[in-house]
Amino acid sequence: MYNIGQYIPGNSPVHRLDPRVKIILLVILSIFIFRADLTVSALTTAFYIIVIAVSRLGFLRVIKSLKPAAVFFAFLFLIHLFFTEGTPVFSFLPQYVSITFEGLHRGILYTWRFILLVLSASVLTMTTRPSGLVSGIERLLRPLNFTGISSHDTAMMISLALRFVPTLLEETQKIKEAQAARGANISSGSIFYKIKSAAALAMPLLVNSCRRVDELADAMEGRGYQRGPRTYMYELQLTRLDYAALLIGFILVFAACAYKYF
Amino acid sequence: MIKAENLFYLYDKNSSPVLKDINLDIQQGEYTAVIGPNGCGKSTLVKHFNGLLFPANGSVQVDGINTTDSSSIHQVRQKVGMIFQNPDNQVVAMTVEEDVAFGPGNLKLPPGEIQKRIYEAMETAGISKYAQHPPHNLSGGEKQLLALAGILAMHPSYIILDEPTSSLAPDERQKVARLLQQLHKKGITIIHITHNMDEIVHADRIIVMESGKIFLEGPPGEVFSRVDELKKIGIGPPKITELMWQLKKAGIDVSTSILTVEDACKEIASKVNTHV
Repeated sequence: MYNIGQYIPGNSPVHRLDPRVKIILLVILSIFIFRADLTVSALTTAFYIIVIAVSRLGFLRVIKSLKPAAVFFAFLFLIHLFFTEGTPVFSFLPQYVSITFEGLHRGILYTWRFILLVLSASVLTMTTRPSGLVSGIERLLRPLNFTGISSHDTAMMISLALRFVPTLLEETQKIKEAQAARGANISSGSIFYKIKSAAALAMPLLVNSCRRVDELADAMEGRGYQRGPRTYMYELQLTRLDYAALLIGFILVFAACAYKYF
Repeated sequence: MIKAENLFYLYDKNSSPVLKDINLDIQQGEYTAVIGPNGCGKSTLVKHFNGLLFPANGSVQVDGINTTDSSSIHQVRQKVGMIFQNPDNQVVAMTVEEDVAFGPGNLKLPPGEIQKRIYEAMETAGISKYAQHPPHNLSGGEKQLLALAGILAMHPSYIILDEPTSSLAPDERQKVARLLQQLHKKGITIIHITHNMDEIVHADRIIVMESGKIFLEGPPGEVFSRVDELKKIGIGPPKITELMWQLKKAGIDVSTSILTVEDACKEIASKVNTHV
């Protein structure tokens, strides 16, 4: 379940890019995507096809990673399709429900943008080691240290949260099995019943997590953890590849500004 | 040396003390086992040794440093490493190597030194082949070896283990136990809490705790031969020691401070031969 955008080890140039550079490029691209028309969406898509090919992630795998968001894509598309006013192209129950040309255009554009945004995040996490992401975020947040937001603490929190995702999923599974073994029926029944049984699942999970937190805190303190600066086994270092990628990113931004794209 | 003097501890002011006037010296290089029934205070005691808990009264010193001296707590935690029962709740990172690097990172060592140390530590613990793996894919025993590697990378003088093998499969228990003996031979002081008596027959000293006090103390042969007293507080000595004790009770004059099957065979054989 949790392999949504899970890191796929590799040694492609995309993998080797410094996480900081990838995060910055992701932000730039996201801004582009937010403002994209159909042409820019097509260009961005072409860009990602190249990126995915270069990083050898496999198209099928990347598309699969978008699957969990498919419902939202469909929802977004339908909302725009049916609720945009304009020239009707097709209508049933005239006056009430009609598909307009504008709706179709908007539906496609907005869904496409949304897919591209999710795809961007997915490509980032699939080509970047989670710890790399965390240290990238830590370094990018360092300028904020004077505001009282500690970049090291933030990085530690993110990293612990990510670390415990598989552990908590495993535990959820165990609790489910334990409840099923005592006659609980989780997989069928009405939606209300399902919500109720989810609550029955959440409580033991929460209690166990609190216990875990106590032990984890002891283990971390015992290993000399203190708030504030620490050192890491890998220090991030920008290479030529990184500078080149950054340069291309900034050229894009300047070009866009020059053409009054923003 | 870890030295506890007149150590008292209570969880809150109105409760009765969990530790009552403990006096204890643990010498450098010793293999000390701590046993006792649940709730006797053994975990509470060892948590004082690396400054996770502080005495309500009395003091704990590690190599002369008082654990309540907050300016030196970092040093105490570098010297005294601690392994807990549940391996899952000790892992902080998303890959094995980075988890091992957590302690050295906390010591603010430079990256080069961290890398050198973690590869040594993973080698010693026998988990080098998992360096890049996510820890949640490891077995319970491997996770415990990972926890040990994480401590070893901090170059400790003392390692405390609080029931490290209680959730492990038998073959994995042995792996961990073997590593502990190997570390002990290298001169690291081991303080090992356990319910499994067979793991600690080779210890230098056994401390039996009961209701927050030291109940018995001495070398394994001596402590385990006092079967009556141990049984009174709900501790079963190793089966082989109990066998010898029962034989003696039945009138066969054998030594009761025997801990291994081999020694038991020799002892019984020598008695049988003299009878024939």
